[in-house]
Amino acid sequence: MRRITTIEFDGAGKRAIDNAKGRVVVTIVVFSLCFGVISARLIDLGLLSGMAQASTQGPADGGRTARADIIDRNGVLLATDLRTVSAYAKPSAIRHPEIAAARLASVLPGLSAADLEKKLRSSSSFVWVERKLTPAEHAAVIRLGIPGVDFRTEIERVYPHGNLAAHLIGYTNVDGVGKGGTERYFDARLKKDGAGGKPLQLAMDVRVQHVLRHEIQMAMEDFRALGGTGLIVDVNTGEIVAMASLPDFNPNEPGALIKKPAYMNRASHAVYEMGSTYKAFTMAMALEHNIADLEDGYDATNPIRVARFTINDDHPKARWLSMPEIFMYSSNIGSAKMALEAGGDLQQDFLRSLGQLDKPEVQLHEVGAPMTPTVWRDINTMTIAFGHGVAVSGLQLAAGFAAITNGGIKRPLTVLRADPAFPPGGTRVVSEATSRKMQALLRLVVEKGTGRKADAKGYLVGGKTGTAEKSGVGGYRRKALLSSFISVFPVTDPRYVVWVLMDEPKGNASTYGFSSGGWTAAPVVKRVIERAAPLLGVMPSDDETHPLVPAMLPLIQPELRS
Amino acid sequence: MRGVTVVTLIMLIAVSYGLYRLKYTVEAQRNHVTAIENQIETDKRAIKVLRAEWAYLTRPQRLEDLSKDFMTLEPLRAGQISNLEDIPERPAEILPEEDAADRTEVSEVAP
Repeated sequence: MRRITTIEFDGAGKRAIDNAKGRVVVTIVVFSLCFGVISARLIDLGLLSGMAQASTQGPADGGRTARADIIDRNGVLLATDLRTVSAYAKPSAIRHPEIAAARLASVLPGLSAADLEKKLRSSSSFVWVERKLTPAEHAAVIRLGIPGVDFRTEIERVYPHGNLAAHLIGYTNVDGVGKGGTERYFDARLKKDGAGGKPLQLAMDVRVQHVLRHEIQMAMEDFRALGGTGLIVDVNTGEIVAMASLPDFNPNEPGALIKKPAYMNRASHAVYEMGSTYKAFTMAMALEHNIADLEDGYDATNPIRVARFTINDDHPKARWLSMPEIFMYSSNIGSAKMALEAGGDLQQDFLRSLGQLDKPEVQLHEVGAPMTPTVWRDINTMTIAFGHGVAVSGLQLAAGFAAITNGGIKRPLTVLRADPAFPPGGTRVVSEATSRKMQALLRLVVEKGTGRKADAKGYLVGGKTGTAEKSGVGGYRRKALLSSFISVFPVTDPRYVVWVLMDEPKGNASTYGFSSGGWTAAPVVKRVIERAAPLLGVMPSDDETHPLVPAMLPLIQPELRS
Repeated sequence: MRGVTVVTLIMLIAVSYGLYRLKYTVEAQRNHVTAIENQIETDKRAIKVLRAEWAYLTRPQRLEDLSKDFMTLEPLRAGQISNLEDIPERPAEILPEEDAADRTEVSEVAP
């Protein structure tokens, strides 16, 4: 390096050099800034912006909210969001409407070529060819390659099983909002989890559901009934394994729901006066609170007259009846006297503990509240003893019935699959001893009483028939019956409650004109248990009866026949 | 001085080249990932459709009808179900040696 010697200038010369220096500095700064900005922008464009572009995702699906799937207890799909493809055409772009219509009709079996041709010749700028194509139809239309025919995709809620469990699963409207059943009750959860989220698993088993629905449907046709309903409930977990309500509807066509009767869930929303099935509760109350034991009985010689009412027996024996006989022959008089001895207060407390007097908590939108008397007089106590004067839903009846037969524990019913590792808690409503006696009494009804037609061999069915007259204007209608059967199997170690109710069945030749619960509903329960028990993993048993039944037989008088 | 400048220039070119190469590689990888993601999305949609179709085709009512039409099966009866423990052990003396020989022959004919 050379040593720089500072040269001093004076006067005008020094000023000129100072000026020049200043200009050079300014120029350097300005150019540096310019190049700096250009470099920064280059780096930005070259390295950063390009990246940002690559990370953009595909467009989101439509405007409708995505919902999580619903599956059954074995993982079978019950409801899902699918993109469905609809074909439309622009008539102005179609050159040969006749050929196009014929070709489209050849791959879309639901269409008539003539109608389609008319549409394609119309002057409108947009016509639907066919909505909701199946994947195979979609592919076939693409393969035709007709110019002017195009597709539009939409997200739809699809229920592959159609009518099968329409009331339980529910349905959604076109905006994807739950409008019934679990779809409505769990609307927020299904939306929050979205289409890819954790599916909602129900306790229902589609196979068992099919058995129940199918058998009720066939019985409805046989007996020309207005409707039918049924439930299968796990007595140890409260899980609703099947819930059928007929007539039903197809949730894939929510627009067709204007017909109200089909929309009504008869198992959960409708409340019925259950009739004689309620005697099981009266009997359990009497046994539990030591009102009467099995050896005791009541005189059923004469009908009871209270004010303007007369309480009569449908199968009058006109004598003193033991407790097992009262239950077996379904004596109204005996049950009424039993309840009267217990008193209205005890009856109310007992029925409340069984969940009969309050609206049950079940995860469905349609849950009916029971109808109970405003003033609980003695006449109410007596009629309620045999199931008239209180109207409850099938859910309530099944839950109460499960409690008195499963060893005495009342559990809330649930539509969701319960975790086997965490059995749901419950409250004790009757002792185990009472529950055992009830099991034997229910078995007796099926072995020797009004429920013989429900005896599914090998599955030890215990149950109680119920035949209630529907209330109409000015009293009860003798010919309009609600015939039902509630059962539990296997009765020695109950697993499932099966309840079936037929709305206004008409007797036919095979029932000798009878339309009561023992003739119409009991055979349905038998067939349901025979078909569903293997699916539910219940092993058939070699036992013929409940261990307590032999001890009861001496209490039953053999009928004298002429 | 000139040497330093030349070296710096070469290094600058090398670094720029390397940087842009890296950038394009990353971009290609990203496109690849996007393509795979799209493929996964398409497959997921197809799986959903197939699951729905499977549920539709295995409706209990349909299976029952098909079984009635094409098979001779009947609904299961309780008497047809038994435990393995209920089947008695085969007593040894019932199986003579000739019989055993016959069995082997049969199994050879029909494997």
